[in-house]
Amino acid sequence: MLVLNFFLFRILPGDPERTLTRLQRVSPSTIEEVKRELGLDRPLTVQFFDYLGDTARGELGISYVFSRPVSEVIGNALWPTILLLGVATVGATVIGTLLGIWGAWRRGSTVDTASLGFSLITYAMPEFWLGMLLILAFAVALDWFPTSFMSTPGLTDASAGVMLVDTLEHLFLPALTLVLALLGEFALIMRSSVIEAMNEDYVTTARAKGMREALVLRKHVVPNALLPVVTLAALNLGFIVSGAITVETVFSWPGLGQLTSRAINGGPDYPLLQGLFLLFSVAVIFANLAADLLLGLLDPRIGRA
Amino acid sequence: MRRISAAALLMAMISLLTGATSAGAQDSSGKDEKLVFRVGSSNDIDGFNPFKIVEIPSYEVMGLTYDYLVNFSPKDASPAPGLADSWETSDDGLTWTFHLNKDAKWHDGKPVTSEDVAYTFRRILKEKQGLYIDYVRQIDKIETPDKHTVVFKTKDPSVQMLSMLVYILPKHIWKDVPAEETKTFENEPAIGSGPFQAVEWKEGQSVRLEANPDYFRGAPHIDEIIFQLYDNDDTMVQALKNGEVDYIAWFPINLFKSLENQKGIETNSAPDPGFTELGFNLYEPSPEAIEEFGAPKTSTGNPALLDPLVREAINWSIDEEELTQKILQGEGILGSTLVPPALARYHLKLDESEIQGFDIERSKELLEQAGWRDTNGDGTVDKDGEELELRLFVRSEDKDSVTAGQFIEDWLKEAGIGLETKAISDTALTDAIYAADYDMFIWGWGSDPDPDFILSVLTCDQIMGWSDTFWCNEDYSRMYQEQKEQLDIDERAATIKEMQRIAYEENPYVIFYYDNQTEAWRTDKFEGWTKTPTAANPGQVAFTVSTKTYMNLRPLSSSEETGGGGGTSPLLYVGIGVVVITVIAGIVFFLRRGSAEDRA
Repeated sequence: MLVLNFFLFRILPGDPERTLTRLQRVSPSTIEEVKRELGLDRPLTVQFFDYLGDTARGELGISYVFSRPVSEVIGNALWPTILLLGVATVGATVIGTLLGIWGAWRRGSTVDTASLGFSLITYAMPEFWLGMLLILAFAVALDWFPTSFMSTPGLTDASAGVMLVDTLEHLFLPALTLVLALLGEFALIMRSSVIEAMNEDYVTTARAKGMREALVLRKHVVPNALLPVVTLAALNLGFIVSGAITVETVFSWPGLGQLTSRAINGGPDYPLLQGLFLLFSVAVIFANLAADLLLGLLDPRIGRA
Repeated sequence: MRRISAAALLMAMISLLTGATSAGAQDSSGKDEKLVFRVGSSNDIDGFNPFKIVEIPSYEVMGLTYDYLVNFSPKDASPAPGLADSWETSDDGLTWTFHLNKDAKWHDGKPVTSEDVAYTFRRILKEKQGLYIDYVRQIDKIETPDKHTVVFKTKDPSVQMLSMLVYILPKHIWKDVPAEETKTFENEPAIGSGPFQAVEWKEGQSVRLEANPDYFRGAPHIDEIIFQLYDNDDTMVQALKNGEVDYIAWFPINLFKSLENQKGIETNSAPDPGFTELGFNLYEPSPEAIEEFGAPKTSTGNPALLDPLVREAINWSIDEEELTQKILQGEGILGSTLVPPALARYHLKLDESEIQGFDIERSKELLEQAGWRDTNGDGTVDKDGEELELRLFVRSEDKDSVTAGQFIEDWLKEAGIGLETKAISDTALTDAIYAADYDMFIWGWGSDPDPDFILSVLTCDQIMGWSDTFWCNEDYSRMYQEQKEQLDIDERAATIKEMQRIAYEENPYVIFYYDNQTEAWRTDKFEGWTKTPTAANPGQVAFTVSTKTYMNLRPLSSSEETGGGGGTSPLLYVGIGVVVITVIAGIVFFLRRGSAEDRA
């Protein structure tokens, strides 16, 4: 993974030393100097082993674009992304799952058809377009929510309460966009999973015992049907940190997605990209691990195996 | 147990929210006490360090924070008092004396003295700072006879002494910044002497400037300027419509058209001193170029382009009129010579007969003169068995250049030239240019208020510097040095016009159009929008060489307080309420069911 992270970005077009000197009227000697400062004058293999050593020591280097430590730059962008994607994933999981259960339970009814259609449409919709539509409706036509940013620019000396409300207002539209975009997947998977579970023998047995239908659903069907959704949610959480680049762009949300696109355009900023993708890979690995552990906990068959 | 903790958490959340809500209600009343002017921009700044800025909004922020020695008049961009109230030249034109304003103070209260001015110029000269060195190269010696007088001695007479776009820095701050940190010094908050002070930068979000109440030419009427940095042009335009931002600039033409005739919004499109051009690879590797400039050893450029006749043929097969109409939707001026018409005094206006217009037949004739004709009837001209096939790079980051590429592909095909168009990123294009690995590209330039910079781009000395064509014409480059020393404006203008004629006839560039800059602002909050005209046009209200608008803006005199949208929206509380109630209902439902079943 480290190897891939290192070499992948060296293939990107662009010379950081060129971009950093900003195409100024610089002599070749200045460029050599900048290269030396960045350590780009040494052979690639030496650079690579330096990178391995630094990473092992937990040093991610200095971002070319921001002239600050990579860990600090990433740290600043991490919380906005976790807030936005966290809220959206939780919202999408809960609403999507409930929609799925409801649809499966009342299979074939108007509710089912409507929720199925809705899920498919929002699932297929490009996120940035959905975002623009929501801006037009809620920010421009109704003027209920702001269009961009994580807080009102210039709101600095306000109380914590005001700041919180301000952030919630700014969070609403991007989070709603992501909830709508994500919930279709959850609803569809939950629906088919519930339908499948409802045909299992133990459900028939439970019904035969004379249990009420709602109770059958809650006690026997849903817990079993929930397993694939748990996997999906955990995996999604892994991808959370890589941010939602398009949504973050539409709403100018200062998260990791925005940072990634700036790192690519501004250089390329090798240390920052390496740092970002290291974080993304680690997050996905941990999410997989979490999904496995969680499944073991929820499904005794796996846990004991 | 699990359920209890969930319920507790929920209660905690509700109490937190209600607490926050009441706090929000209290504060929203006192929110509008500061008079804030909000500027929308789709580019972030590069920081507050004047030695490393490149993005357009950075120059606006720095221009408000710092002063030049000599400003540009908002009437016609002629020299006007800056930090210097007045100045005089010796008869031989080699000594320049500037008298500083005695009331000028830095933002930290210290007085601005001649030492600061001298320090700034000496530092740039000593460190050869790339952004400014070309403005100050002519300076030989700097003297400070007293606290408010600076004397510059130059090697040769120089026209540049009154158009040095150099921000004057405080010595007492910068003397502690070592040379190797000149470009990395964060400089936040920036200490300058201007009407505003850049105090806070939230990367990718906003820049905040506070008014300087002690500004020596009078305090501004607004308290703060906030630059809001949008990642998305569409969103930025919507933000103007709902009043989150008061002024926006540099957004695409189609969005500009959508704002025209909207109530409460005024739009303006004014010629910006810049252009969009087709550039050629004219590099012929030579030992001197490789040795002197570090130029690449080989060029992949098609040698056919080295023939001026072929370049002229290409110019004749491009319909600049159509490009201006279709791409800019008319918001621009037809392209021709190197110095944009916005710099009216120096722009070479061609006669009708001199213009290389749009005529495919003429283009075919020129190709034939150059020895290219279609001998095998495949539709593409050839010479010595070689078909004329060219590559054109357009910018994936700029839709307009992609569209222009499609038009040009069709036109060149008609003229018998094969063309392969490829969209690549700006960084990739920069690399291709410095490696001489291209035939043609579409890109643009912006010009300073003085034509010196835009003229320099085509000189031989700029190979591997700003030059993107490798064009090297000795007459042109010699005249470039000449015009630098011509203190008589008419003489200088004549030289500059001659240079443009050479460049137009030789076609290192085919200039499509001089783009207009788009801007739009809300009319319901401020008045005092002031256009900074150039000799050729009425001008823009912001992002110009003057800070007039920022100084003149004041709240609308009518007491009508529309404000609107400032407070917290009631819907948020309704939304939160609905969510909370749903969650509670759900939990209660399941709890009840659960306990009912447990009992059963």
